[in-house]
Amino acid sequence: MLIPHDHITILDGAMGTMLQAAGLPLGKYPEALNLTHPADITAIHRAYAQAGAQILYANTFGANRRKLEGSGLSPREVIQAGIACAREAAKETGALVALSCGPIGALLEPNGNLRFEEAYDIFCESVTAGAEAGADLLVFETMTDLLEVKAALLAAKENTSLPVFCSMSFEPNGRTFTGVSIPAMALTLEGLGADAVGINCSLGPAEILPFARELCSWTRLPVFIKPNAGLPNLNSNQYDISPEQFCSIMEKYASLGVSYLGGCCGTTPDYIRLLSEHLKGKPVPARTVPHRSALCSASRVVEIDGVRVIGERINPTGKKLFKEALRKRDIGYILRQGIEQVRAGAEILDVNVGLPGIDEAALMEEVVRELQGVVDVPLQLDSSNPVVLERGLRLYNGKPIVNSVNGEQAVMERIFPLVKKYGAAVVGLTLDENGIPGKAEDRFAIAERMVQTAERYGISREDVYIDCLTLTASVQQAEVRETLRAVELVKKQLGVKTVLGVSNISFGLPEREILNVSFLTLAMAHGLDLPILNPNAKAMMDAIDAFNVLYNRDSGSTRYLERHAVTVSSSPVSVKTGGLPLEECVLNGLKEDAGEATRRLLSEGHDPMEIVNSVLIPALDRVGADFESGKLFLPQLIQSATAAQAGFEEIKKSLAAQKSEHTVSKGTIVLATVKGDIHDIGKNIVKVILENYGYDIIDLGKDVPPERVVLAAKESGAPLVGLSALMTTTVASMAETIRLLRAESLSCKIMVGGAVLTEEYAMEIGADFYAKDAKASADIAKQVLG
Amino acid sequence: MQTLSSLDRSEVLRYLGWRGNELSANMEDMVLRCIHEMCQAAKPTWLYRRFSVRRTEEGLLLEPSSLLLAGKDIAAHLSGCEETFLLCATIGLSAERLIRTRMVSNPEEGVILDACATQAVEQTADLAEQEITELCQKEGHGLTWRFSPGYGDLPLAVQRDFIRVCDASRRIGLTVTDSLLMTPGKSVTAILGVTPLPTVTQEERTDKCSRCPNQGRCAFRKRGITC
Repeated sequence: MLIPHDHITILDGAMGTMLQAAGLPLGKYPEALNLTHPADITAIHRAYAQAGAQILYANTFGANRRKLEGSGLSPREVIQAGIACAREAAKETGALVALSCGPIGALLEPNGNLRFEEAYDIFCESVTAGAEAGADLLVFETMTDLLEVKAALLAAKENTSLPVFCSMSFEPNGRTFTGVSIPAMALTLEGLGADAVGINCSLGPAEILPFARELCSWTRLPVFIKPNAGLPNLNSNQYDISPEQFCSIMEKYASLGVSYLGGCCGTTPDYIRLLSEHLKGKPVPARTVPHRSALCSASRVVEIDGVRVIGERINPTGKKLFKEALRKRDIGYILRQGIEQVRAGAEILDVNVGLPGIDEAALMEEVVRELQGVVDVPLQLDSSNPVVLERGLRLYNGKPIVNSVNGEQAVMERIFPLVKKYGAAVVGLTLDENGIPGKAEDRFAIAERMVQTAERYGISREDVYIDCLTLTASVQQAEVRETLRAVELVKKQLGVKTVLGVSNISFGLPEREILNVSFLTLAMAHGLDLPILNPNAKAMMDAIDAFNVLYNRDSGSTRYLERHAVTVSSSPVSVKTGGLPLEECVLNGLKEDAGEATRRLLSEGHDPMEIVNSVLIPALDRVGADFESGKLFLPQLIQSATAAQAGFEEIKKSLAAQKSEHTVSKGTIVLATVKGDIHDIGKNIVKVILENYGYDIIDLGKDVPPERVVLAAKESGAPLVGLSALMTTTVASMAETIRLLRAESLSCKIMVGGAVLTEEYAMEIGADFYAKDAKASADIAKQVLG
Repeated sequence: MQTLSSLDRSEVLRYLGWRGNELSANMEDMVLRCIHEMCQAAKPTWLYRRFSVRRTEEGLLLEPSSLLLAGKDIAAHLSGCEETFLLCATIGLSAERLIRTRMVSNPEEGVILDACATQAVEQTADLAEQEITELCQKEGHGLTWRFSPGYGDLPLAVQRDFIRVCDASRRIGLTVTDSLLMTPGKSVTAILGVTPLPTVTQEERTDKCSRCPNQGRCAFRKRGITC
């Protein structure tokens, strides 16, 4: 069904406010009233319909299985009754009936422990019940987490054919509680196929007005707004503006091009009646929304209106350590690569986790989930396998890039539907079944074909980024210029953004950076928007800063001055320590110096294993003793451990170079924060310490089901498993995990730790060791693994 | 929007288990930087609601809600109180994101930021309590200290209904997991009684350890201090 949006449609007002006013027994489950007091609920809907509301939201806001838990009611019966009440009231006026779905009431990972798939399931149940009950449309409202809306919207689109309206609630700073910005909401939800987007609740019409203006400039979708009756007083239930005041502000929305207007908390039929009298049926002025190429995470929008760096480091190609991290599922290593690149200035991160013999799809999902919990830049999902791409796309919180398609018909047919469904942007490589054409004109022809095909799939050209492919100067010198020409042609004649992996240019030649920087500069001059490079290479980032000054993009050289002006350092006090012995570096927690000192010892011909056994380990032991005696406190313990780690890294490199049989690894330990518990800082501290003492850690994360711990212990054969739990409520699941490990008769020892545990309590639940702090866990590890 | 201009440095160090040894300039600087960063990241928000206390056989019923507070400790806490305030305070999710990120890239700063966040939510609750105290003082009333669910024999399971009757999920983004942990994690819920007298004395407040379920295993008490 199409709901007209060229003339203003009036929505209804608050349900909760009316339930209270009617003196209905509110209790825990206001939706239960659909079954116990249907006549009262219908009367409220009827009052709104008679006041002029053309869309009635059924009393189903909390009708999901999590919120109804303990009520003895199923979402289905509550929803059926709720839709029936609204439908009965709508009879006289022909108003439409919407299934209203509010937030589930639990936070999704990584903020809480609700999994994306579970959220999807919960919404599935509600929306299918709504569709069966005959709702005309679905409304997701008062949402604060973009990923939760995504789960809801996918559930709606994949299981019903009803129109879907999505609205979120913003705080006075223009962000939701989880940090979602208005442009990020618009980009993501429009991409995912919402039929209208909006803002409701939290603030009054005056406060929402600038947000609505911003929303209208970021989406071509119809917009709907339901403000509260003024500002809520957090500590009473009073709202502060009258129907007249409400209505006079709401008139301003009409001129913005908003299609649907109603009220949220505190509004009553009086508010809606005035609104209807003044605004119903007024033509909605057409909005001019600029054409933009933009990407986003939930909290950060990156508009491609200049050179934007895509960080290339999350990719195993040619990287030994990265490959090892992937095989060991060392997600921490991958996250550090991400954080480091963002610090260095990357505005988008490419994510490629393809390696023969690993489950790329599962790893893509895990890396995307974890990475978006620690960096706020948009991601570029990089795989040739559509299954891998879809796993990442599904739970990506924002609008990502898919890397990539090419001009091959079959590839476009596989990839474009995914790009469209998940509202992503896409990189198109100018090659096809015949390979990479030599001539710029031929690469242009492929680009043109890709853009046209994308448009046929409903992907706008703003979302297609063309990669004219960098060829290696040492092999195809003549074609290097063709790449640059192709970039220019594509940019000028197709009007799309361009992307290039830069560093391939210098492969096989010495002093590669000279060529990389020069090629980057030339490419930018020819119209390159999105260089894919290593942002840790300062010369490359400098070249971009210079380009932005020289091409008058960095107005007043502001950014250049920010990054390059020589200022008095305000960075941490750094003590010049050059030449300190390694032991001192570890004791004082000096990471860089420890690396340097280790290199020095190695270059002096010391045996790597001797450095480990006679310097690093004794230094760590001393640090541990000082921590125990209270001479050092936790941050210092970690600093020293991290400094030792820098030493171990150098040793590892040296051993790898010598192809030595020796290893600095002292064995494997499995760590997990038990099911139900999401406070993992203690476990993470233990992980840092144990890693830096030379153990390999399999970190299962937080909220880990007992079965997963058992599986990991079995598969790895780890002699030691460490479990953490913060609260008495979650110690029960720690006990269950131990019970299961024992039931499988695994030979591993088990150590436990956490705020409410004691030695006695630990023994009582069947643990072998109680670790009172991180240092104690290292002592236990030493005892068990040596 | 509220912000915190600073955090009590000695409290932050106390949470970190610092026992008064000399700090290097480097460490001193790191702590101050973390305090500054946490003040930027923390979004102190709170709400409180006032209820009448009705004493029933099952426990204290907070009217007009259906929230029931069971146990002898809460009964003692609210003895003589006709009314009570439920307080929910949080510093939001951006602080957690900061800690999470830093635990990966620079864990020594991560743990300091975590201690800063603990202090930030304490200070947030203090600000809220101050506001309630002033309200009560105007009426010639006093206020008890902050009694939290899970403390003494008040079951932690009350957390879910506590947050529901305060509408804390919608109003300040505070939710509770199935295992009764609050999200955002750096949050506080507390029960404050409106007393006929101006305020309680400090002695009464330190007495709280005798009812703490963590008694005998408290890291603070081991060091001769209280939380």
